[in-house]
Amino acid sequence: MSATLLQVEGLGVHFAVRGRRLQALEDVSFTLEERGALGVAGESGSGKSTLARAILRLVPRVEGTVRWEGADIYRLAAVELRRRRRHVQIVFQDPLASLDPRQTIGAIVAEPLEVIEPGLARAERAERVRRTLERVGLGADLANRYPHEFSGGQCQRVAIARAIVGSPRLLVCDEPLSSLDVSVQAQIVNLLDDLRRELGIALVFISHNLAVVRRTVQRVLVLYLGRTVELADRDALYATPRHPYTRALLDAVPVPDPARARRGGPTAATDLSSAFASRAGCVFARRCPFAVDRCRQVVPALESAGPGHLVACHRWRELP
Amino acid sequence: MRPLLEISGLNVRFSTPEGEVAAVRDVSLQLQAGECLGVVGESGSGKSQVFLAALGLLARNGSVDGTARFDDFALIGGKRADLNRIRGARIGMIFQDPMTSLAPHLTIGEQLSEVLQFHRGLDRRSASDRAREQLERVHIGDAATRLGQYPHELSGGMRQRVMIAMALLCEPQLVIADEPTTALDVTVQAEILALFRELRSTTRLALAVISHDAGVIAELCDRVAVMYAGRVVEEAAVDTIFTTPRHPYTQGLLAAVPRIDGTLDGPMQTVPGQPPAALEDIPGCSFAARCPRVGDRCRVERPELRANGNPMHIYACHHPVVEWRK
Repeated sequence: MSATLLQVEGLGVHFAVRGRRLQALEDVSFTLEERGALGVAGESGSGKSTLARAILRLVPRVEGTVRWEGADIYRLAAVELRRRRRHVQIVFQDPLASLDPRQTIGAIVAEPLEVIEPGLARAERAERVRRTLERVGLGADLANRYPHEFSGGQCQRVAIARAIVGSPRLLVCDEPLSSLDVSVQAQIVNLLDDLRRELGIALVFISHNLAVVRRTVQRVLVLYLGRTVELADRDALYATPRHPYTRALLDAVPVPDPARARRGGPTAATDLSSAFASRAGCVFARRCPFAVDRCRQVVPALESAGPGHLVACHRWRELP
Repeated sequence: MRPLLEISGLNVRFSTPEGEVAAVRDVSLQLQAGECLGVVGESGSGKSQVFLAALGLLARNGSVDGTARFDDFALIGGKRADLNRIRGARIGMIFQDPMTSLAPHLTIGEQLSEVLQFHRGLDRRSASDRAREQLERVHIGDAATRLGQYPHELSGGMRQRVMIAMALLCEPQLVIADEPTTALDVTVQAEILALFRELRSTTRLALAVISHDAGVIAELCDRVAVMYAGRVVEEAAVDTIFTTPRHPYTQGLLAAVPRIDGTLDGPMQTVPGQPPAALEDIPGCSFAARCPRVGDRCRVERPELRANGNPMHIYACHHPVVEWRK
């Protein structure tokens, strides 16, 4: 039994947008064990990036709690928070935008060390940077180059190197693949898998594409307009998805096989979702082909649909 | 039958401070009326530049040689006025990012009407009516309201529908879609792909789809050209490409597509390494440095693009894949 690394309970985040309240996240709960991997799936506006930021205390305040190894990070003193930050790192979607264009790759990867281990001797620091660059598949001889000299995939490797140089226990990856070519995505997936297996770094892997997270994660959280609609172990979620939204996400993945590709078929009417819509009832009801009156009136509770399998749908038992 | 679009021996070069860069090398492509051609390749493979060059839309430092014919018009070397009449009217274009291809300071209605006023000489009133019909055709609800909105007021999927509506305004014979779904959520992508399929089934529209994602290509196209380092390395009917890819690069590209039903054993198959820098002039096969099947000949002699058996399946490889297990 491994220890709990990340515990999120009743997490809510809202923003005020032109005088209106935008509920970006509402009552989200999950735990992540050491060395574990959680996938977070949902469309734009589902709250998945807000979740990433909330986990790192990059939003000013939240409802509920986020605990790293038991410590409630929104109640930690600044000094203590800073001391613990080295254990939780993030990789963003657009690698070129998240790297300083005026710093060399070596300087970018070395920078966290200056904060985390200020006492480190210069030679030792250079050695750590060299080892980390090699670990992510970049030659150490590239340390003197600048980000614009690299492809998107290489820049993402640099961003990963910067995130792992301080030996974190948790890496939050917010759509780390969506700005990359498909052929390069596979390389990064394999790299993240290796880091978890070999260095024991736990992952929160956020993506709008369920096919992308499938290989890497053990559990999957599906968000829609800020609410948990389904949370299940990987195999259960892909084999027996219970929520109509999870099914829509799975159906939307293109099939790289012309004999089986959809030629027609219903569409998911994505434009019906609005972050400002009424939150009475199920937030997915407006798009759901199975919605009945109850769905529009009563917020569905998370129910158990099997071991470790939670679904928020009034009608999951009746669905075809 | 004479193709609607015929590109022959196309070369595109860019002059940069570091030197001359060859982006497209000796590319020939044909597209029949009503057909959908997929052009698949990684960033930098030249897949977009082929079509930008054919439409006279290269960046200022770019130069082109070769020929491109659309119906009876020479697209390259022809009159600028002819080109302006064809683009937007008989050839529609859809780009990856609808936010940057729509003018932010004009309403949707103004942008759509402008096209009709320019190409069709319609007055404002009838242009606006026609624009509303087009929005309805691409399944944008409440079209009358949308006409008065600005691009930033629409979702990404809605903006891409507007781009498609705009490309279709003058009933073009050909639409060139460059990564039309790459910036979108998978669910929105599925909707846009369904829309393209619907348009193809109701019109004689020819479609060229440029994408790095073989999954998107499989969903839409009749025929596929695979590009690598500025060249076409394999071309065949879509079923042929996906069932019997011969070029090791094609095989790698297909294996890298994340599948909802793929095996979970072992690491994902990848195409290891990086494409060659465009500045390099490689004597042999440009894929040799990354190829799992590379032999000595590959490094010195460039393989010709040719058929072997099936005349509709061409590939450029000295050591083609024989067995391919999906």
